[in-house]
Amino acid sequence: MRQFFSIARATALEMASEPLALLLTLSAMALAVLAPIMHYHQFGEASRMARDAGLSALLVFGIAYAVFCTVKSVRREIDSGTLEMALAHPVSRAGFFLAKLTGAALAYLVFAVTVTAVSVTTVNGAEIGGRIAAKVGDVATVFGPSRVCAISAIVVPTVLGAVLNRFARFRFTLTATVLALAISLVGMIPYIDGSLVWRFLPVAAVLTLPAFVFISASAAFAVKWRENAATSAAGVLFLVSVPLLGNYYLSDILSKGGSLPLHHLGISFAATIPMVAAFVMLGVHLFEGRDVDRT
Amino acid sequence: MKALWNIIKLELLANLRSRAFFLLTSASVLWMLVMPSVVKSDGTDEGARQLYVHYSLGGVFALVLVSLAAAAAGSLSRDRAAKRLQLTMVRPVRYFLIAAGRYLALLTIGAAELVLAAGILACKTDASRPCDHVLSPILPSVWEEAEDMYEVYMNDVETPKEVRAMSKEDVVALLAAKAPDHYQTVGTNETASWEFAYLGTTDKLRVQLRFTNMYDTREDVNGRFSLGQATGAVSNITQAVAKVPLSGVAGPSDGLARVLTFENHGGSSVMLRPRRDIQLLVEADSLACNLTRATLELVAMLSVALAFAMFLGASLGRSVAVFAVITMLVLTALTPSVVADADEFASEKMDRIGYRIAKFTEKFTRPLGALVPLEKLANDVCVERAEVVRVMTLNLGVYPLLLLMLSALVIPRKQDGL
Amino acid sequence: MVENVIELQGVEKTFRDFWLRPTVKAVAGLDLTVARGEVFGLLGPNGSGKSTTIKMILGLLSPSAGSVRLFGLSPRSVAARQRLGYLPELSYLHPFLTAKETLKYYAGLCNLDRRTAKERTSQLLAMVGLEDVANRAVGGFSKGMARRVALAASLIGKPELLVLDEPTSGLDPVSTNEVKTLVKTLAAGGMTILMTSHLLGDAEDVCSRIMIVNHGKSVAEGKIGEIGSSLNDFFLAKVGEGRDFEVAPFLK
Repeated sequence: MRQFFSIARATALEMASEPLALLLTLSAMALAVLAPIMHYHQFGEASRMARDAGLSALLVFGIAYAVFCTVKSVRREIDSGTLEMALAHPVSRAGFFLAKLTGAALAYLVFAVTVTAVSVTTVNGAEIGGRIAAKVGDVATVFGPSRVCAISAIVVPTVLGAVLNRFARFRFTLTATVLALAISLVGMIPYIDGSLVWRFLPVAAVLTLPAFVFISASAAFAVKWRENAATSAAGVLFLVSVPLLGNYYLSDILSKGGSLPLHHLGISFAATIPMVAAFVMLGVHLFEGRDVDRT
Repeated sequence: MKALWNIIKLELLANLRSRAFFLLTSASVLWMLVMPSVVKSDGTDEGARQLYVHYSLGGVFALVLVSLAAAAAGSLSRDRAAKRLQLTMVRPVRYFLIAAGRYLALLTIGAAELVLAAGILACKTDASRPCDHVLSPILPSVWEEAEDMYEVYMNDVETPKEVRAMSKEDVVALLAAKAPDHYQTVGTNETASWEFAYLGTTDKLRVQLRFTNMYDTREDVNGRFSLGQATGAVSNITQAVAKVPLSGVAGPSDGLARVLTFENHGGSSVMLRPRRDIQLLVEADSLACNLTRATLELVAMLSVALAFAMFLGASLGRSVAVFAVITMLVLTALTPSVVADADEFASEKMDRIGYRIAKFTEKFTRPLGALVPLEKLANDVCVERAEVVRVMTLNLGVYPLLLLMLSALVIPRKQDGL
Repeated sequence: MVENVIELQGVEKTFRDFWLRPTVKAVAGLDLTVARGEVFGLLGPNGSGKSTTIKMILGLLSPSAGSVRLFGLSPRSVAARQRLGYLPELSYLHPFLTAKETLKYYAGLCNLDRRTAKERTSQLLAMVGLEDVANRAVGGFSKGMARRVALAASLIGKPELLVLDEPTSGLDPVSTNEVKTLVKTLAAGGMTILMTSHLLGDAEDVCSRIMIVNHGKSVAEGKIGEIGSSLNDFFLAKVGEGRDFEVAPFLK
């Protein structure tokens, strides 16, 4: 187990230190936060815009995160020769592959929690803004303090990460990622006793499930093909599965205080497991069979 | 030149020997062939044809643009990371040629893909179908009109207080942006006239009328257009765009032929926006010629994207460069609609900031942002030669040259670890 | 008067981070001249600044202070690079090109006409013993074969100065011997050679003059025949013996 955690931890840290991972996280947060604030075309429905943007960012950027970072992580092991080093130690190939997947899933969870937390803050701000607007008869906007909190979750990690890098030599990407997670979670605390969080989390959980399928698929593709080909294959899989990835019905469920029936979460989870298992088995099979060299 | 050719050849081989090129070509051909059965039109042959012309080439252009821009962003950064770039840099080759060679190779691949798609399009549609020059009325500039309107607008009680607080310059700019939407009313039994810069004598003339919203009267329109000796009647319009043929020769350039008049014989007033809703169509050449010009413009648009991606690849690591170029392309695709549909008079400060950011982005992404040639091609509007020359000079010449020169400056600095 | 092919005066190189803070001073005031026809060995322990010095000579890095002249010109000038050949420590080949295409590509970069390029490609492929696999993609080559392709590519422009960074790295003893013989033959033909190596025996065999660098500074310089002891002893005397690993606690 120690080997397993060691590989998983190294993979998660490696993925979270990737500049592209931070860019994707910040972009997803920016979409979730700015779409309801800059409210062109929203016709006063800031709350709906906040839900739609947050959930879409979680889904689409999450899949992009899963694909790009997993492929990169697996291919780097193979191409740089670190896989040869690792397998020269008493590690089973299947164990190594599963540990890599677990690490990738952990890194993705950091992304998912950050984006979910910042979305909760924005959606809640939009709902408060909507109530205030209804009282005074104005167009609904995101409640000021929530707005400040959500924007801070993007700006502060970037600036503080840079400052800590400049003066204390902290690693910028990793520091900014951790700070973004921390500030997003802190921003969510005031609403933790409200019903929104408990309504929002199951919906967000459903939308993270496709990313786990893509993590396992991308890892399997990366074992077989080089970085470009593996990313393209995952891209094709994404295009094929677009019709299955509708998230707006989930957004609708949340409107007017509604929530997702828990059995729906269970069904989604149950439907995901065979897909993940199939790709993991494919990946393990390919990994067991491949020659360990830099091709 | 030998060095340049070798760099081009290397990049061509790198792409042609990868599966990506095969995939790209297959996907393009497949899209051109199956697209008509995938996309649903409005049920008319005309609608289906327009949709096919627009989206078949548009789809391939999007595919080629994204994949080649990503390849361009990855080209230099990939070789720099693999340390192969330094082997080229120690040879007697200018750094400019290293970037230019790769750019030209990718542009060649992109151009070939687009020409292939255009060829399929020409085979699958009536290539001899004519297209038209579209002439708009000669009117005072939007700025003159905005200046004239300023006092009236500021004295209007409905003008928002935020706008009143703005400087005259800003308000005039906003009014100028709104000027194309000003309506002109032609009452019953009244005549309106518009001057056009048309001096030809062709008998293949039409007047194009647009009715863009539900408040416009259509069925009630009844009247007669005349341009010199050429006349055409219009009544009971049922479509959003009506093309009224003028019969007879418009006549030599005696001054009269430049003025189009409309006599309203209908029971109600006709409201038109002269800058948007009334145009003179003069037959130009065929769809095949138009397709050639449109393809040239698309190649030029691809060129500027590739040069920009090349610059990003010279300056950044591979994954960040690819991410940046894809983000830029998404922003480029989004900003024209944001700018076109935005409410410049929004009272929210955040909205105004957003609008300014969008407008700023649109200004810099304009060479790529509006897919004008595809719009024109689909609507049988002539892609004018002068426009093609202008677009090609800028997008195939000036911008890429500047971006590649910048790349050449960055290449050795990046090697320095900066 | 003997022309100096390479001239470095007071060269320093400091690497900086994103905030432009100095991170490493790789080269600290190095003076070096290599005359035409010399086989010059730049020796030193790992991290001594050899590769950084070579990259400044090649124009790949710019010095933070001092001047670097190659044939009396800036190393970034095309005219200087016209007379240069370079074999890096690892081969860095385009994997999708065949051995022949690789040489033709670099021949093109050296502005050779088609006939000369073809002629030299065949000559060099024969020289490094790769005629039989000339049309195979180099991505599938062994390390030794890739090294031979890279060596041939460095010679395609018939350079006046050949820079070899660890030329025998990854080669078996037979191939190492072949490379050393090749270097001697090229030097006898009048080519100037600058090489780095960790293998002091190799340097002793082929170099006419050496410089030992440590911590980015020159600690010794001289002709091989004038050193007086074996190069190995001389090197250890100048650079230090290093420390003994304390193995005993680990073995307990």
